[in-house]
Amino acid sequence: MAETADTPAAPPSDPLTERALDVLRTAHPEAVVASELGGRHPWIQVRVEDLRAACRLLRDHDELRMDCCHLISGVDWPEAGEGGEIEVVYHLCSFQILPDDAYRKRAEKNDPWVALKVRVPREKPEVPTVLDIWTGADWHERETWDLVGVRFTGRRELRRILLPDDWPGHPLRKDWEYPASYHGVPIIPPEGL
Amino acid sequence: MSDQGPDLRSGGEPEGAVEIHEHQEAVSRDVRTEEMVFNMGPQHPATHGVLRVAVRTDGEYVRALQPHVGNLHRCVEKIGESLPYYQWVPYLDRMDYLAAICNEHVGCMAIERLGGLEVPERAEYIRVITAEVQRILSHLMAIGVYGLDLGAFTPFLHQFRERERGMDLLDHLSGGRLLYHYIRIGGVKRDVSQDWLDELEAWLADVERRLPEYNTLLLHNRVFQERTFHVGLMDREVATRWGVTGPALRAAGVDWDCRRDAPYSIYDRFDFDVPCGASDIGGEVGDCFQRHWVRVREIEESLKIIRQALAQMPEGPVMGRVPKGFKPPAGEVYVRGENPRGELACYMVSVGKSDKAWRARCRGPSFSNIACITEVAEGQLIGDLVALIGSLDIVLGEVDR
Amino acid sequence: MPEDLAPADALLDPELQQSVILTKVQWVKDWGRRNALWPMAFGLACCAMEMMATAATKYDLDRFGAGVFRASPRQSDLMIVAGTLSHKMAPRLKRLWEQMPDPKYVIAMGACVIGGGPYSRFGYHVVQGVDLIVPVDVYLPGCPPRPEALIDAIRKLQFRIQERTGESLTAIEAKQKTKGGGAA
Repeated sequence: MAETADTPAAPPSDPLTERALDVLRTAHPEAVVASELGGRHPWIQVRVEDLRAACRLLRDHDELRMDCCHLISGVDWPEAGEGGEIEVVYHLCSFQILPDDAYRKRAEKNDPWVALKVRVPREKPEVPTVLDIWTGADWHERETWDLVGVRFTGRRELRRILLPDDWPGHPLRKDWEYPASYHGVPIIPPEGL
Repeated sequence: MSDQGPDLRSGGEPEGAVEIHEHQEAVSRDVRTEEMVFNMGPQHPATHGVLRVAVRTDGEYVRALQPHVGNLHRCVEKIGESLPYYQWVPYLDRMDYLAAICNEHVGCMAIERLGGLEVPERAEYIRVITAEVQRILSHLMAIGVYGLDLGAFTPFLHQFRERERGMDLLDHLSGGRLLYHYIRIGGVKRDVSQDWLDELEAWLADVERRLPEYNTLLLHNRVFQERTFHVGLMDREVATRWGVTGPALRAAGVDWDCRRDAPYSIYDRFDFDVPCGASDIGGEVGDCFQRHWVRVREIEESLKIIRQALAQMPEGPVMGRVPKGFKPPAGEVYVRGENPRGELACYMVSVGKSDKAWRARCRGPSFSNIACITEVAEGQLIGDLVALIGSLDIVLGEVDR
Repeated sequence: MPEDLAPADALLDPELQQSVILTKVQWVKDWGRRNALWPMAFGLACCAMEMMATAATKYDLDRFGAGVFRASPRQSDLMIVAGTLSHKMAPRLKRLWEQMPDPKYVIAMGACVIGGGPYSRFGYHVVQGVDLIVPVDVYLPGCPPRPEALIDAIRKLQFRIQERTGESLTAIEAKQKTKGGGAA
């Protein structure tokens, strides 16, 4: 298996992400905040307010056709920015065979997906929903709210999905503390064992 | 029988049947039924675990339904942040407990890519062989239990005979019957012996010999066909929009398999077909029958892959160099792999200088696959709901993680 | 007929022994109870797969009179808690247990339900042992336990049902051995 080593000085850029970046830049010049095209995990960061437009564009564009929202993840960065930030990562992929297969044949990982990122302040983690763009985003958004505490706006009820409705806090926040008990059943914190 | 779909009886309808149908239609038009909400699960034999489905019904028809998950939430992502990488791998086994090896495979690939580790050639082959054995075991289970869901007890007993022997194979290799922790970061735990390979060959031949027997019991069985034809229809638009993957996606007519279209590990070295739903199989593209058919065909394809891998397998070490106190550099990876149930994906974030991940996120294929029943089950008969959930072949450990 | 059936056999003369059994009603009730355990089909997680394997072809739990898995708690008297119990599931498990008719028995199958198992340290949502929710008769360790172990647990439970005298299990087993061959 040709695993990627750290050695190459200039990692080859990823054609699919490169193309997605071009498309986004052409349509919404202001939207892209940062991007990384090479390496193991190429990504594009967009502004929160442009997220929906960017998603819609990637889904509907003739060459990209990102028809599946593969995964939505929230990552807590308490040290970043002022007062911490939460990053929401959208991994998009396409199940359609494209006319030009060049984007699929990636130099490095041969795995066609595009990672779209947004960053929101930790104090007010509000991200517009993409539920109407990909129906499958529904449960991923609910899970991200449940475990990381990102509030997705503009969608129907955002309830917890994995944990009970009255669970205290969002466990995947880095500062979350283990409660002592839940409805009388003790929860032993990691230090207690 | 359901009054939906074309008539499957071959001999045509007897005289007078039309009138009866008209009469029934008039009755169902006129009688106003009351809507009723009831719960299916979390303790229900056909929900494959602790899934709870709240169903609003109108007579015998499902008007709306809402699956409730989380009854088996086991905090795998939190544990991934709290434990060193190598200690997290056994938890991946327990996510999808019917496809433990496949989970380990994807998880170890993610961690290896994060740390830039090399895996020896022989270990890659052993990984693929064991993962495909696991896929056969998982599909055998899915097929047998699907028969059980639909009221056929016999196929379950038949497939468990082969399944037990397959589990013994992996047991000899790893010491566990169900959860193995056999694939480790950097390779696999132990090399396979010639005895084991012989045993594997014999098992493959047996599975191949028995497959027609299973098909007589289920796939070609009239009762089974009438129970699954045109039930739980999911077309390609619905499937992709909901992020459905695996056999359910392929049954909907989408020709996509991670192993072929985005090859990971060494899957690009093997020649195999990707079975897809088509109108000439029977039933309709994207119905329960075709999902079942895809699984049966995938067993045959897995046999092919294992045989090719056995023929190509080189000699050599099975464990690569993994530094003690493995601390991958800062970075992220996103690795996908084709599990028996769909695409498992691992998104790992490392901040460097730490033996723990900053974020260890997993995409369980069952999680997306079961979400779609809110749309697919609408308008179905309640009895067909069991057929639909069974045909999606979910594992709750992976839905809830 | 089991060899240990009639403790009062000595009172009868040899001819009557062929046709008459003297015993306690309680003993007969327990005898029936232990050999017709109806487990509830209740799988939580991985261990449930091993529970299914135990009931299926190779291990065939029916041989021990405990293979009739019932879908409803109202028809069963044995709850095999197989898998990880989460806080969300705990009230439902309690309710299921309450719905079972008396006398009822619980086997805690697997490390997770004994004490949280591998999830006990960081698993915030995992109950640290099912005995916090319902009383447990037999603890069965393993992750997951092998089918042989589950069969052993069911046998232990059967001994326990028969000999409700407060004797330790080892003492009961020793007694069974001296009587030759066991009771089932």
